[in-house]
Amino acid sequence: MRNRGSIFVLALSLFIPLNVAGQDVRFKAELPVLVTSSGQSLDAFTVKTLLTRAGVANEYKNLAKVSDLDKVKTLVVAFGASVKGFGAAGITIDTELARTRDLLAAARQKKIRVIGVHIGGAERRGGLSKDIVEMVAPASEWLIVWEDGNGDGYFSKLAAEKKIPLTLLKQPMETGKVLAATFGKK
Amino acid sequence: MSTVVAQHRRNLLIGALAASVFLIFPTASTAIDRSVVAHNGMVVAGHPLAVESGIRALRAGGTACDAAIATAATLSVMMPDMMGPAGAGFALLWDAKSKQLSAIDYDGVAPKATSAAQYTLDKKVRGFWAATVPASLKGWEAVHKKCGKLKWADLWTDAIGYAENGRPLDFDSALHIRRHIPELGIYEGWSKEFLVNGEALPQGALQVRKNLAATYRQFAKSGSKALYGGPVGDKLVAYMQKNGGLISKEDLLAYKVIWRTPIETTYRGVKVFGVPPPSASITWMEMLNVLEGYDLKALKHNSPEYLTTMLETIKHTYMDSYRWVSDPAFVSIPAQMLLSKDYAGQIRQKIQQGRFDMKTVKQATLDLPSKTATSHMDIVDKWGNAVSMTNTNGNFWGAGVVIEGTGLLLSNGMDWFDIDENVWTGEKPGNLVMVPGKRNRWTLAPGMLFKEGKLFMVVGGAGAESTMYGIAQPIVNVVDFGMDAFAAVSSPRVQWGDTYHYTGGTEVHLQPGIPEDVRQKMAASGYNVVALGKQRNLAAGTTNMIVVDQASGSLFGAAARNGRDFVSGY
Repeated sequence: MRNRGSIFVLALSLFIPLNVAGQDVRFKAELPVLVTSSGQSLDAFTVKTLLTRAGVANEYKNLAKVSDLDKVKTLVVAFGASVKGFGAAGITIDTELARTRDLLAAARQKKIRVIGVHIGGAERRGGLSKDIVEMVAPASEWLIVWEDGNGDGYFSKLAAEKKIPLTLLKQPMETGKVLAATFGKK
Repeated sequence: MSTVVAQHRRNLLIGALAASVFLIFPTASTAIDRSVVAHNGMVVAGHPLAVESGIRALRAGGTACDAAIATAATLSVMMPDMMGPAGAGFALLWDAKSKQLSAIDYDGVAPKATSAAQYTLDKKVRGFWAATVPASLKGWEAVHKKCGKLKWADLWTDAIGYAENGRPLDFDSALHIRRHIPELGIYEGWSKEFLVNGEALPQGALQVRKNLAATYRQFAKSGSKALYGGPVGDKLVAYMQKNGGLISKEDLLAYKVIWRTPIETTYRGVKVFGVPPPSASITWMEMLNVLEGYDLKALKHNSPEYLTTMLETIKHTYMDSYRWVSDPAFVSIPAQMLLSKDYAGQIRQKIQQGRFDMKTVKQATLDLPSKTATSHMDIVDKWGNAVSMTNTNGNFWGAGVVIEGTGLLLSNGMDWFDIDENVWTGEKPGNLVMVPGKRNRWTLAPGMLFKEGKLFMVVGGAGAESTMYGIAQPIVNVVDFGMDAFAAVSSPRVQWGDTYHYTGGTEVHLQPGIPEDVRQKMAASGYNVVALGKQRNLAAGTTNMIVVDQASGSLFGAAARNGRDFVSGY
């Protein structure tokens, strides 16, 4: 009984919900980290750039597959669908959802920590983004969200319901520093 | 009651009934025309405050060319996301006295150091390798030299004032800054220029850009010399060198605008002119040639038959656009053939044989929040001179690069080149491949129409690949259906694909206002009609138009209703 209680307290301490960027980050992530996109927006490129600038080595593959997860310890998924849509290179919303689903399932199975990053703001919420958001957000172990995309409180409510740590950013450019802190970089 | 009184009362009743029907269902001759009407001069352009600058120039005794420069300069402060002196453009200039029509090409060129083998998709979209050599400032100067009367420096007064003291941010301007933060916030120059403490200013706030004001003072004083071989150019080159960019001092010194012979066709007896490639005027002109072979009135406006005809015409002519709209110095473009009535007939035969299976491009492209940053202006002055001018930065915010210390944003013309394969035709390399010194394809497509030698219409638009069909449909609305300018640009249109170059797609968007039964018939016939509210991109051409009433000479102007565009006259 005592062991179970200790385990419970330990587990709880790792999932303290966050409300303000950078404070009380208890989420510990490890390298190597893979940055990918769900929805094919350029937000993933931004996240990768910010992470690199913050001194965190990372691999970036906007169309990461399950086979790319070998040796990865942390998966950063920048999610939100593009306005232009897909069409090119055989990418459709369905293929993107399928790829994302497979990736998240494999990450779960391999015990890879998943960080969901939504910095596209309100523009990356509705339309094609809706299905992407509803797939990735609940499957994330930590959500980093530009507050512009949380105007309806969706992420706040989800984080509270699912007990997912949530960092709301005042500015999307804070992503790099926030992520870097969890890798032990200041 | 006497028979006479009864008859009189009956006549009154009949008259009243007729009048009520007439009021409820106005005929075409009594439809409300909401075009702006003026007689001495008119400016239709991308922003109200820029239009005001153009009108001031006209009222000060300036020509349409003076007004174009004043409008463009102010517009570059109001809509830096769309255009600016370091961008590119094309224009048609009509001299009413000499009855001469000129076309000027101030397209950007690929820098001398361009090597296609070193490019990837992301490098040509944003960043230091995305920029083509700045061109617009030289183009505007050439226009002014040709047909301006006012002092060049005076035409920059409003623009300098707004940059120095602040321009008030309207809703769209504030939104376009904010929505691009996730993507462009990583570019230091852009962030410093357009954000305050990392955040976008709200609507109503004053956006001050001191560096830009200083740069514009130099442009006002020295003209294009300030950029091409002068201090502003030196800053550009230094910034390029610091950041591994490609544009050199030699590129700037070598840059030249080109005066071209306008291309010409006719549409139902009306003479139609455009700017030759690499402008895309040829595409909507080709569309008109094809459409001329149909009795569009009999098909009825926006009926399924009409829309089908329009869609198939778009598909065929756009394939030509993707193959041929390139730099004539590098590609032998069969413009005469493309604009021939015979060729239009061949396309109609193909249309008759069945739907064109326009392939979806296979090249992956990067997403951008928006893919079109262009603004078109139409101007007519009191002497009857006219300017049809389109300016661009490429994508919203161009390359995302602001030259340090200058406030100037670079265009991303490189994104409008292929790296090797033409994704539409499969040619490898195709005509659109990037080559040092080459001008890139654009969808900029200014136009002018004439009836019996007299100016009839000044027209053009924006909206990436939606530009050309966005121009053709309003022209048809006027010529075939007798619509006024306002109705012509406001009437719902059909849109093919997703409007972004290199992606295409097979979607058909029917704008709100097209009846539901028509939508259903089009879907039932096999088109991929996207449901209302589900369109990924609502752009169907941001088209501006001035129609000159042939009897009175009065100007009827209309601005696109889906942008910040505005029309005014006096």
